[in-house]
Amino acid sequence: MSARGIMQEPRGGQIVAVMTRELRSRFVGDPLGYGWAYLTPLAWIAVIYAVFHILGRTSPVDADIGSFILSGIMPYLAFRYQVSSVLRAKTAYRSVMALPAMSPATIYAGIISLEFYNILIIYLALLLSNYMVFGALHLADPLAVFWGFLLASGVGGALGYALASLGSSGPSLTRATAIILRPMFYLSAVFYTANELPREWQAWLAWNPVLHAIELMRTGIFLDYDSDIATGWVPVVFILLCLGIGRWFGARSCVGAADEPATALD
Amino acid sequence: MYGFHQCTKVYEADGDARRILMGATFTFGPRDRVAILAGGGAGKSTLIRLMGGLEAPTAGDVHRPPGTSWPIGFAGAFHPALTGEENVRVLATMLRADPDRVSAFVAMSADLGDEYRNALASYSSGMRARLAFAFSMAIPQDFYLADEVVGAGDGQYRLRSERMLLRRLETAGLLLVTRNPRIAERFVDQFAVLHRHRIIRCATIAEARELLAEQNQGEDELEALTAGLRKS
Repeated sequence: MSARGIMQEPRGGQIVAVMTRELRSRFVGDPLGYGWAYLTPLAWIAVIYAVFHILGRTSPVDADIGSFILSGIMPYLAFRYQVSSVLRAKTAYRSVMALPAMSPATIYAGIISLEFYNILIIYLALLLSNYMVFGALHLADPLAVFWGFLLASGVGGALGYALASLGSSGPSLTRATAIILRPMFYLSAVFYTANELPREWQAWLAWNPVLHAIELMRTGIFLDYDSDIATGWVPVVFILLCLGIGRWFGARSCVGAADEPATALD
Repeated sequence: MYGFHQCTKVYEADGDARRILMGATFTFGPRDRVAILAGGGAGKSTLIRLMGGLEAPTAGDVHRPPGTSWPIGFAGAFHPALTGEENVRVLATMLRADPDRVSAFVAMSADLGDEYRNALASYSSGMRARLAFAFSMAIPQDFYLADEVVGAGDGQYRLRSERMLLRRLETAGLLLVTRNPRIAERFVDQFAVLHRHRIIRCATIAEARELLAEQNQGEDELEALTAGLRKS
Protein backbone atom coordinates (compact mmCIF):
# COMPACT_ATOMS: atom_id res chain seq x y z
CA MET A 1 0.00 0.00 0.00
CA SER A 2 1.43 3.34 -0.89
CA ALA A 3 -0.86 5.56 1.12
CA ARG A 4 0.87 8.41 2.88
CA GLY A 5 1.49 8.74 6.61
CA ILE A 6 1.78 5.03 7.07
CA MET A 7 4.31 3.34 9.32
CA GLN A 8 6.17 0.53 7.65
CA GLU A 9 5.57 -2.01 10.40
CA PRO A 10 6.60 -5.59 9.80
CA ARG A 11 3.93 -7.91 8.51
CA GLY A 12 4.04 -9.59 11.94
CA GLY A 13 2.02 -6.65 13.29
CA GLN A 14 -0.81 -7.46 10.89
CA ILE A 15 -0.73 -11.12 11.90
CA VAL A 16 -0.97 -10.13 15.58
CA ALA A 17 -3.90 -7.81 14.69
CA VAL A 18 -5.75 -10.73 13.10
CA MET A 19 -5.07 -12.86 16.19
CA THR A 20 -6.32 -10.05 18.47
CA ARG A 21 -9.52 -9.62 16.46
CA GLU A 22 -10.12 -13.35 16.52
CA LEU A 23 -9.44 -13.69 20.26
CA ARG A 24 -11.84 -10.88 21.14
CA SER A 25 -14.62 -11.89 18.81
CA ARG A 26 -14.77 -15.69 18.80
CA PHE A 27 -17.48 -17.28 20.97
CA VAL A 28 -18.76 -13.83 21.96
CA GLY A 29 -22.28 -13.95 23.41
CA ASP A 30 -21.80 -17.48 24.74
CA PRO A 31 -21.65 -17.78 28.55
CA LEU A 32 -18.68 -20.15 28.32
CA GLY A 33 -16.95 -17.82 25.86
CA TYR A 34 -13.47 -18.84 24.80
CA GLY A 35 -13.72 -21.84 27.14
CA TRP A 36 -15.28 -23.71 24.21
CA ALA A 37 -11.87 -23.83 22.56
CA TYR A 38 -10.75 -25.98 25.54
CA LEU A 39 -13.96 -27.91 26.17
CA THR A 40 -14.32 -29.36 22.68
CA PRO A 41 -11.09 -31.42 22.81
CA LEU A 42 -12.11 -32.69 26.25
CA ALA A 43 -15.40 -33.92 24.76
CA TRP A 44 -13.52 -35.76 21.98
CA ILE A 45 -11.22 -37.41 24.52
CA ALA A 46 -14.16 -38.40 26.71
CA VAL A 47 -15.95 -40.05 23.77
CA ILE A 48 -12.88 -42.05 22.69
CA TYR A 49 -12.18 -43.04 26.30
CA ALA A 50 -15.77 -44.28 26.63
CA VAL A 51 -15.51 -46.28 23.37
CA PHE A 52 -12.22 -47.86 24.54
CA HIS A 53 -13.86 -48.74 27.85
CA ILE A 54 -16.98 -50.24 26.25
CA LEU A 55 -14.99 -52.28 23.72
CA GLY A 56 -12.51 -53.36 26.39
CA ARG A 57 -9.60 -52.09 24.26
CA THR A 58 -6.31 -51.57 26.05
CA SER A 59 -3.44 -49.25 25.20
CA PRO A 60 -1.26 -50.68 22.38
CA VAL A 61 1.80 -48.93 23.84
CA ASP A 62 3.38 -49.27 27.24
CA ALA A 63 1.36 -46.47 28.81
CA ASP A 64 -2.04 -45.71 30.33
CA ILE A 65 -5.08 -45.31 28.05
CA GLY A 66 -5.40 -41.58 28.77
CA SER A 67 -1.85 -40.87 27.60
CA PHE A 68 -2.34 -43.04 24.49
CA ILE A 69 -5.59 -41.31 23.52
CA LEU A 70 -3.97 -37.91 24.04
CA SER A 71 -1.09 -38.91 21.74
CA GLY A 72 -3.52 -39.51 18.87
CA ILE A 73 -6.37 -37.11 19.37
CA MET A 74 -4.36 -33.93 20.02
CA PRO A 75 -2.36 -33.87 16.77
CA TYR A 76 -5.51 -34.95 14.91
CA LEU A 77 -7.44 -32.04 16.45
CA ALA A 78 -4.56 -29.70 15.61
CA PHE A 79 -4.97 -30.79 11.97
CA ARG A 80 -8.76 -30.66 12.00
CA TYR A 81 -9.05 -27.29 13.77
CA GLN A 82 -6.62 -25.70 11.34
CA VAL A 83 -8.59 -26.79 8.27
CA SER A 84 -11.88 -25.60 9.76
CA SER A 85 -10.57 -22.27 11.01
CA VAL A 86 -8.90 -21.35 7.72
CA LEU A 87 -12.07 -22.20 5.79
CA ARG A 88 -14.16 -20.25 8.29
CA ALA A 89 -11.80 -17.26 8.03
CA LYS A 90 -12.33 -17.16 4.29
CA THR A 91 -15.95 -16.14 4.90
CA ALA A 92 -15.59 -14.35 8.24
CA TYR A 93 -12.75 -12.13 7.01
CA ARG A 94 -14.09 -11.40 3.52
CA SER A 95 -14.68 -7.74 4.40
CA VAL A 96 -11.27 -7.40 6.05
CA MET A 97 -9.68 -8.71 2.86
CA ALA A 98 -11.23 -5.65 1.16
CA LEU A 99 -8.71 -3.47 2.94
CA PRO A 100 -5.56 -2.64 1.04
CA ALA A 101 -2.44 -4.29 2.51
CA MET A 102 -4.46 -7.22 3.84
CA SER A 103 -3.92 -10.33 1.76
CA PRO A 104 -5.74 -13.61 2.38
CA ALA A 105 -2.33 -15.17 3.17
CA THR A 106 -1.78 -12.65 6.02
CA ILE A 107 -5.20 -13.43 7.47
CA TYR A 108 -4.68 -17.19 7.22
CA ALA A 109 -1.23 -16.83 8.83
CA GLY A 110 -2.84 -15.04 11.80
CA ILE A 111 -5.59 -17.62 12.13
CA ILE A 112 -3.18 -20.57 11.83
CA SER A 113 -0.78 -19.07 14.42
CA LEU A 114 -3.62 -18.51 16.90
CA GLU A 115 -5.02 -22.00 16.35
CA PHE A 116 -1.57 -23.55 16.85
CA TYR A 117 -1.03 -21.58 20.05
CA ASN A 118 -4.49 -22.60 21.33
CA ILE A 119 -4.13 -26.30 20.69
CA LEU A 120 -0.59 -26.35 22.10
CA ILE A 121 -1.80 -24.73 25.34
CA ILE A 122 -4.68 -27.22 25.51
CA TYR A 123 -2.27 -30.12 25.02
CA LEU A 124 0.07 -28.89 27.75
CA ALA A 125 -2.90 -28.36 30.10
CA LEU A 126 -4.16 -31.89 29.43
CA LEU A 127 -0.67 -33.37 29.92
CA LEU A 128 -0.46 -31.60 33.26
CA SER A 129 -3.97 -32.72 34.25
CA ASN A 130 -3.16 -36.34 33.34
CA TYR A 131 -0.04 -36.13 35.50
CA MET A 132 -1.80 -34.52 38.46
CA VAL A 133 -4.85 -36.82 38.44
CA PHE A 134 -3.38 -40.14 37.29
CA GLY A 135 0.33 -39.54 37.92
CA ALA A 136 1.10 -40.37 34.27
CA LEU A 137 3.47 -38.20 32.26
CA HIS A 138 4.99 -39.41 28.97
CA LEU A 139 7.24 -36.96 27.19
CA ALA A 140 10.34 -38.87 26.10
CA ASP A 141 11.53 -36.39 23.49
CA PRO A 142 9.81 -32.97 23.76
CA LEU A 143 11.39 -31.70 20.54
CA ALA A 144 10.08 -34.66 18.54
CA VAL A 145 6.65 -34.12 20.11
CA PHE A 146 6.72 -30.47 19.10
CA TRP A 147 7.84 -31.40 15.57
CA GLY A 148 4.97 -33.89 15.16
CA PHE A 149 2.50 -31.38 16.55
CA LEU A 150 3.82 -28.66 14.27
CA LEU A 151 3.55 -30.97 11.24
CA ALA A 152 -0.04 -31.97 12.08
CA SER A 153 -0.97 -28.32 12.49
CA GLY A 154 0.92 -27.36 9.33
CA VAL A 155 -0.80 -30.07 7.27
CA GLY A 156 -4.20 -28.75 8.44
CA GLY A 157 -3.35 -25.11 7.83
CA ALA A 158 -1.87 -25.78 4.40
CA LEU A 159 -4.79 -28.00 3.37
CA GLY A 160 -7.23 -25.31 4.56
CA TYR A 161 -5.34 -22.68 2.55
CA ALA A 162 -5.40 -24.83 -0.59
CA LEU A 163 -9.11 -25.62 -0.20
CA ALA A 164 -9.95 -21.96 0.48
CA SER A 165 -8.08 -20.87 -2.64
CA LEU A 166 -9.59 -23.65 -4.74
CA GLY A 167 -13.00 -22.60 -3.43
CA SER A 168 -12.39 -19.07 -4.78
CA SER A 169 -11.94 -20.47 -8.27
CA GLY A 170 -14.94 -22.76 -8.05
CA PRO A 171 -17.12 -22.71 -4.93
CA SER A 172 -18.28 -26.30 -5.43
CA LEU A 173 -14.71 -27.45 -4.73
CA THR A 174 -15.10 -26.36 -1.09
CA ARG A 175 -17.65 -29.13 -0.71
CA ALA A 176 -14.76 -31.57 -1.12
CA THR A 177 -13.73 -30.63 2.43
CA ALA A 178 -16.25 -32.88 4.11
CA ILE A 179 -15.31 -35.76 1.82
CA ILE A 180 -11.62 -35.33 2.71
CA LEU A 181 -12.01 -34.71 6.44
CA ARG A 182 -14.51 -37.37 7.42
CA PRO A 183 -12.36 -40.47 6.77
CA MET A 184 -9.18 -38.85 8.12
CA PHE A 185 -10.17 -39.64 11.69
CA TYR A 186 -10.23 -43.35 10.86
CA LEU A 187 -7.20 -43.35 8.55
CA SER A 188 -4.75 -41.40 10.71
CA ALA A 189 -3.78 -43.77 13.56
CA VAL A 190 -5.74 -41.69 16.07
CA PHE A 191 -7.00 -44.60 18.16
CA TYR A 192 -4.53 -47.27 16.99
CA THR A 193 -0.85 -47.27 16.06
CA ALA A 194 0.56 -47.75 12.57
CA ASN A 195 2.67 -50.64 13.92
CA GLU A 196 -0.53 -52.60 14.67
CA LEU A 197 -1.58 -52.54 11.01
CA PRO A 198 -0.85 -55.25 8.43
CA ARG A 199 1.97 -54.43 5.97
CA GLU A 200 -0.41 -53.79 3.02
CA TRP A 201 -2.45 -51.32 5.05
CA GLN A 202 0.71 -49.58 6.19
CA ALA A 203 1.76 -49.17 2.55
CA TRP A 204 -1.56 -47.55 1.67
CA LEU A 205 -1.83 -45.36 4.75
CA ALA A 206 1.78 -44.18 4.34
CA TRP A 207 0.36 -41.68 1.83
CA ASN A 208 -1.57 -39.97 4.62
CA PRO A 209 0.47 -36.99 5.95
CA VAL A 210 -1.63 -36.72 9.14
CA LEU A 211 -0.77 -40.32 10.05
CA HIS A 212 2.95 -39.51 9.78
CA ALA A 213 2.58 -36.41 11.97
CA ILE A 214 0.67 -38.37 14.62
CA GLU A 215 3.13 -41.26 14.55
CA LEU A 216 6.11 -38.90 14.80
CA MET A 217 4.54 -37.23 17.80
CA ARG A 218 3.74 -40.59 19.39
CA THR A 219 7.33 -41.73 18.88
CA GLY A 220 8.44 -38.61 20.73
CA ILE A 221 5.96 -39.11 23.56
CA PHE A 222 6.56 -42.76 24.43
CA LEU A 223 10.03 -44.02 25.24
CA ASP A 224 9.27 -47.58 24.06
CA TYR A 225 7.38 -46.73 20.89
CA ASP A 226 9.12 -46.41 17.55
CA SER A 227 6.88 -46.10 14.50
CA ASP A 228 7.68 -48.45 11.60
CA ILE A 229 6.65 -46.00 8.91
CA ALA A 230 6.73 -42.44 10.25
CA THR A 231 8.73 -39.88 8.32
CA GLY A 232 8.61 -36.10 8.27
CA TRP A 233 9.00 -35.95 4.49
CA VAL A 234 5.43 -36.91 3.64
CA PRO A 235 3.83 -34.08 5.68
CA VAL A 236 6.52 -31.60 4.61
CA VAL A 237 6.01 -32.36 0.90
CA PHE A 238 2.23 -32.27 1.39
CA ILE A 239 2.45 -28.86 3.10
CA LEU A 240 4.62 -27.46 0.29
CA LEU A 241 2.28 -28.88 -2.33
CA CYS A 242 -0.78 -27.36 -0.66
CA LEU A 243 0.93 -23.99 -0.23
CA GLY A 244 1.83 -24.04 -3.92
CA ILE A 245 -1.75 -24.92 -4.92
CA GLY A 246 -3.12 -22.27 -2.55
CA ARG A 247 -0.78 -19.62 -3.90
CA TRP A 248 -1.48 -20.51 -7.53
CA PHE A 249 -5.25 -20.57 -7.27
CA GLY A 250 -5.29 -17.65 -4.79
CA ALA A 251 -3.36 -15.50 -7.27
CA ARG A 252 -5.79 -16.45 -10.04
CA SER A 253 -8.82 -15.40 -8.03
CA CYS A 254 -7.62 -12.21 -6.36
CA VAL A 255 -6.87 -8.99 -8.09
CA GLY A 256 -3.60 -7.98 -6.49
CA ALA A 257 -1.93 -4.77 -5.47
CA ALA A 258 -3.29 -1.40 -6.52
CA ASP A 259 -0.58 -0.66 -9.04
CA GLU A 260 -0.90 -4.03 -10.75
CA PRO A 261 -3.59 -4.36 -13.42
CA ALA A 262 -6.51 -6.60 -12.61
CA THR A 263 -6.90 -8.80 -15.63
CA ALA A 264 -9.81 -11.05 -16.43
CA LEU A 265 -9.46 -14.65 -15.38
CA ASP A 266 -9.49 -17.03 -18.29
CA MET B 1 -3.50 6.23 -17.09
CA TYR B 2 -5.76 4.27 -14.74
CA GLY B 3 -9.28 2.99 -15.12
CA PHE B 4 -11.14 0.45 -17.23
CA HIS B 5 -9.61 -0.91 -20.45
CA GLN B 6 -11.87 -2.91 -22.80
CA CYS B 7 -13.50 -4.08 -19.60
CA THR B 8 -16.42 -6.48 -19.49
CA LYS B 9 -18.18 -7.53 -16.31
CA VAL B 10 -21.03 -10.00 -16.47
CA TYR B 11 -22.65 -11.87 -13.58
CA GLU B 12 -24.11 -15.21 -14.49
CA ALA B 13 -26.53 -17.07 -12.27
CA ASP B 14 -29.05 -19.78 -13.10
CA GLY B 15 -28.54 -19.29 -16.82
CA ASP B 16 -29.24 -15.53 -16.62
CA ALA B 17 -26.53 -13.03 -17.49
CA ARG B 18 -26.51 -9.61 -15.85
CA ARG B 19 -24.33 -7.28 -17.87
CA ILE B 20 -22.64 -4.38 -16.11
CA LEU B 21 -19.84 -3.48 -18.51
CA MET B 22 -19.35 -4.59 -22.12
CA GLY B 23 -15.92 -3.71 -23.48
CA ALA B 24 -15.92 -0.39 -21.63
CA THR B 25 -12.86 1.87 -21.67
CA PHE B 26 -12.62 4.84 -19.35
CA THR B 27 -9.36 6.26 -18.04
CA PHE B 28 -8.27 8.96 -15.60
CA GLY B 29 -5.12 10.23 -13.92
CA PRO B 30 -3.95 9.33 -10.39
CA ARG B 31 -5.02 12.73 -8.98
CA ASP B 32 -8.19 13.23 -11.04
CA ARG B 33 -11.57 13.65 -9.37
CA VAL B 34 -14.09 11.76 -11.46
CA ALA B 35 -17.77 10.89 -11.07
CA ILE B 36 -19.61 8.15 -12.90
CA LEU B 37 -23.35 8.75 -12.80
CA ALA B 38 -25.75 5.86 -13.14
CA GLY B 39 -29.31 4.96 -12.27
CA GLY B 40 -30.32 2.43 -9.62
CA GLY B 41 -29.24 -1.14 -10.31
CA ALA B 42 -26.96 -0.17 -13.20
CA GLY B 43 -23.85 -1.52 -11.46
CA LYS B 44 -22.36 1.44 -9.56
CA SER B 45 -21.16 -0.70 -6.66
CA THR B 46 -19.64 -3.18 -9.11
CA LEU B 47 -17.51 -0.39 -10.61
CA ILE B 48 -16.22 0.42 -7.12
CA ARG B 49 -15.58 -3.25 -6.35
CA LEU B 50 -13.63 -3.58 -9.60
CA MET B 51 -11.61 -0.46 -8.90
CA GLY B 52 -11.11 -1.50 -5.26
CA GLY B 53 -9.68 -4.84 -6.37
CA LEU B 54 -12.45 -6.83 -4.72
CA GLU B 55 -13.52 -8.36 -8.00
CA ALA B 56 -11.81 -9.18 -11.27
CA PRO B 57 -13.36 -8.25 -14.62
CA THR B 58 -14.86 -10.96 -16.82
CA ALA B 59 -12.70 -9.67 -19.70
CA GLY B 60 -10.31 -6.76 -20.16
CA ASP B 61 -8.25 -4.90 -17.55
CA VAL B 62 -8.77 -2.63 -14.58
CA HIS B 63 -5.81 -0.39 -13.73
CA ARG B 64 -6.00 0.92 -10.17
CA PRO B 65 -4.08 4.00 -9.07
CA PRO B 66 -1.40 3.33 -6.44
CA GLY B 67 -2.62 3.96 -2.90
CA THR B 68 -6.28 3.29 -3.74
CA SER B 69 -8.44 3.30 -0.61
CA TRP B 70 -11.25 1.00 0.42
CA PRO B 71 -14.68 2.59 -0.29
CA ILE B 72 -15.27 5.65 1.90
CA GLY B 73 -17.50 4.81 4.86
CA PHE B 74 -17.07 1.06 4.37
CA ALA B 75 -18.11 -0.51 7.71
CA GLY B 76 -17.98 -4.16 6.64
CA ALA B 77 -14.58 -4.81 8.22
CA PHE B 78 -15.77 -3.79 11.70
CA HIS B 79 -16.66 -6.61 14.08
CA PRO B 80 -19.83 -6.03 16.15
CA ALA B 81 -18.38 -7.73 19.24
CA LEU B 82 -15.44 -5.33 19.46
CA THR B 83 -15.72 -1.76 20.72
CA GLY B 84 -15.40 1.12 18.29
CA GLU B 85 -11.93 1.78 19.64
CA GLU B 86 -10.81 -1.87 19.40
CA ASN B 87 -12.08 -2.08 15.83
CA VAL B 88 -10.22 1.06 14.84
CA ARG B 89 -6.97 -0.02 16.51
CA VAL B 90 -7.06 -3.53 15.02
CA LEU B 91 -7.87 -2.30 11.52
CA ALA B 92 -5.27 0.49 11.72
CA THR B 93 -2.62 -2.11 12.57
CA MET B 94 -3.81 -4.27 9.67
CA LEU B 95 -3.38 -1.23 7.41
CA ARG B 96 0.12 -0.69 8.81
CA ALA B 97 -0.88 2.66 10.28
CA ASP B 98 -0.13 3.94 13.79
CA PRO B 99 -3.11 2.72 15.91
CA ASP B 100 -2.66 5.48 18.55
CA ARG B 101 -2.73 8.27 15.99
CA VAL B 102 -5.63 6.77 14.02
CA SER B 103 -7.67 6.09 17.16
CA ALA B 104 -7.11 9.62 18.45
CA PHE B 105 -8.25 11.05 15.10
CA VAL B 106 -11.39 8.87 15.01
CA ALA B 107 -12.25 9.58 18.67
CA MET B 108 -12.04 13.28 17.94
CA SER B 109 -13.83 13.36 14.59
CA ALA B 110 -16.53 10.66 14.86
CA ASP B 111 -18.31 12.53 17.68
CA LEU B 112 -19.21 9.34 19.53
CA GLY B 113 -18.24 10.43 23.05
CA ASP B 114 -18.01 7.55 25.54
CA GLU B 115 -19.81 5.27 23.09
CA TYR B 116 -16.49 4.96 21.28
CA ARG B 117 -15.48 2.51 24.02
CA ASN B 118 -18.68 0.44 23.80
CA ALA B 119 -19.30 -2.63 21.64
CA LEU B 120 -20.20 -1.83 18.04
CA ALA B 121 -23.29 -4.04 18.37
CA SER B 122 -24.86 -1.32 20.55
CA TYR B 123 -24.33 1.43 17.92
CA SER B 124 -27.14 2.91 15.88
CA SER B 125 -26.67 2.87 12.09
CA GLY B 126 -25.84 6.59 12.21
CA MET B 127 -23.11 6.06 14.82
CA ARG B 128 -21.69 3.20 12.82
CA ALA B 129 -21.65 5.36 9.69
CA ARG B 130 -19.84 8.16 11.54
CA LEU B 131 -17.25 5.72 12.88
CA ALA B 132 -16.67 4.23 9.41
CA PHE B 133 -16.42 7.62 7.76
CA ALA B 134 -14.01 8.98 10.39
CA PHE B 135 -11.86 5.85 10.02
CA SER B 136 -11.78 6.36 6.22
CA MET B 137 -10.51 9.89 6.78
CA ALA B 138 -8.03 8.96 9.51
CA ILE B 139 -5.48 7.37 7.19
CA PRO B 140 -4.70 9.65 4.24
CA GLN B 141 -4.90 7.87 0.91
CA ASP B 142 -3.65 8.78 -2.55
CA PHE B 143 -6.88 7.86 -4.31
CA TYR B 144 -10.35 7.57 -2.80
CA LEU B 145 -13.28 5.45 -3.89
CA ALA B 146 -16.81 6.52 -3.01
CA ASP B 147 -19.96 4.51 -3.57
CA GLU B 148 -22.52 7.31 -3.03
CA VAL B 149 -21.01 8.02 0.42
CA VAL B 150 -19.23 11.38 0.62
CA GLY B 151 -20.23 12.22 4.17
CA ALA B 152 -21.95 10.80 7.24
CA GLY B 153 -24.62 11.78 9.74
CA ASP B 154 -26.87 14.76 9.26
CA GLY B 155 -26.98 18.50 9.88
CA GLN B 156 -23.75 20.05 11.11
CA TYR B 157 -21.94 16.73 11.29
CA ARG B 158 -22.68 16.00 7.64
CA LEU B 159 -21.25 19.36 6.57
CA ARG B 160 -18.21 18.76 8.75
CA SER B 161 -17.61 15.29 7.29
CA GLU B 162 -17.94 16.58 3.73
CA ARG B 163 -15.42 19.30 4.52
CA MET B 164 -13.10 16.62 5.89
CA LEU B 165 -13.28 14.75 2.57
CA LEU B 166 -12.79 17.93 0.53
CA ARG B 167 -9.65 18.64 2.55
CA ARG B 168 -8.32 15.15 1.83
CA LEU B 169 -9.11 15.64 -1.86
CA GLU B 170 -6.82 18.66 -2.05
CA THR B 171 -3.98 16.19 -2.51
CA ALA B 172 -5.75 13.00 -3.62
CA GLY B 173 -7.85 11.65 -6.47
CA LEU B 174 -11.43 10.39 -6.27
CA LEU B 175 -13.68 8.05 -8.19
CA LEU B 176 -17.26 8.66 -7.12
CA VAL B 177 -20.21 6.62 -8.36
CA THR B 178 -23.59 8.17 -7.70
CA ARG B 179 -27.06 8.68 -9.08
CA ASN B 180 -27.09 12.26 -7.78
CA PRO B 181 -25.55 14.86 -10.14
CA ARG B 182 -25.62 17.51 -7.40
CA ILE B 183 -23.28 15.47 -5.19
CA ALA B 184 -21.02 14.82 -8.17
CA GLU B 185 -20.84 18.52 -8.93
CA ARG B 186 -19.64 19.33 -5.41
CA PHE B 187 -16.80 16.84 -5.28
CA VAL B 188 -15.45 16.26 -8.79
CA ASP B 189 -14.59 18.10 -11.97
CA GLN B 190 -14.83 15.26 -14.50
CA PHE B 191 -18.08 13.50 -15.33
CA ALA B 192 -19.20 10.33 -17.03
CA VAL B 193 -22.35 8.25 -17.28
CA LEU B 194 -22.68 4.48 -17.16
CA HIS B 195 -24.87 4.09 -20.23
CA ARG B 196 -25.74 0.83 -21.99
CA HIS B 197 -22.85 -1.01 -20.29
CA ARG B 198 -20.30 1.59 -21.38
CA ILE B 199 -18.84 4.55 -19.54
CA ILE B 200 -19.49 7.68 -21.59
CA ARG B 201 -17.31 10.69 -20.78
CA CYS B 202 -19.19 14.00 -20.66
CA ALA B 203 -17.66 17.45 -21.13
CA THR B 204 -19.92 19.10 -18.56
CA ILE B 205 -22.24 18.16 -15.72
CA ALA B 206 -25.16 19.42 -17.83
CA GLU B 207 -24.33 16.90 -20.53
CA ALA B 208 -24.04 14.14 -17.91
CA ARG B 209 -27.39 15.14 -16.41
CA GLU B 210 -29.01 14.99 -19.83
CA LEU B 211 -27.61 11.57 -20.63
CA LEU B 212 -28.63 10.27 -17.20
CA ALA B 213 -32.15 11.68 -17.62
CA GLU B 214 -32.41 10.04 -21.04
CA GLN B 215 -31.32 6.75 -19.53
CA ASN B 216 -33.78 7.05 -16.62
CA GLN B 217 -36.59 7.89 -19.06
CA GLY B 218 -35.74 4.81 -21.11
CA GLU B 219 -35.86 2.70 -17.97
CA ASP B 220 -39.21 4.22 -16.93
CA GLU B 221 -40.69 3.45 -20.36
CA LEU B 222 -39.38 -0.12 -20.18
CA GLU B 223 -40.85 -0.51 -16.69
CA ALA B 224 -44.23 0.83 -17.87
CA LEU B 225 -44.15 -1.56 -20.83
CA THR B 226 -43.31 -4.52 -18.58
CA ALA B 227 -46.07 -3.54 -16.14
CA GLY B 228 -48.52 -3.27 -19.04
CA LEU B 229 -47.53 -6.71 -20.32
CA ARG B 230 -47.97 -8.19 -16.84
CA LYS B 231 -51.48 -6.68 -16.56
CA SER B 232 -52.56 -7.96 -19.95
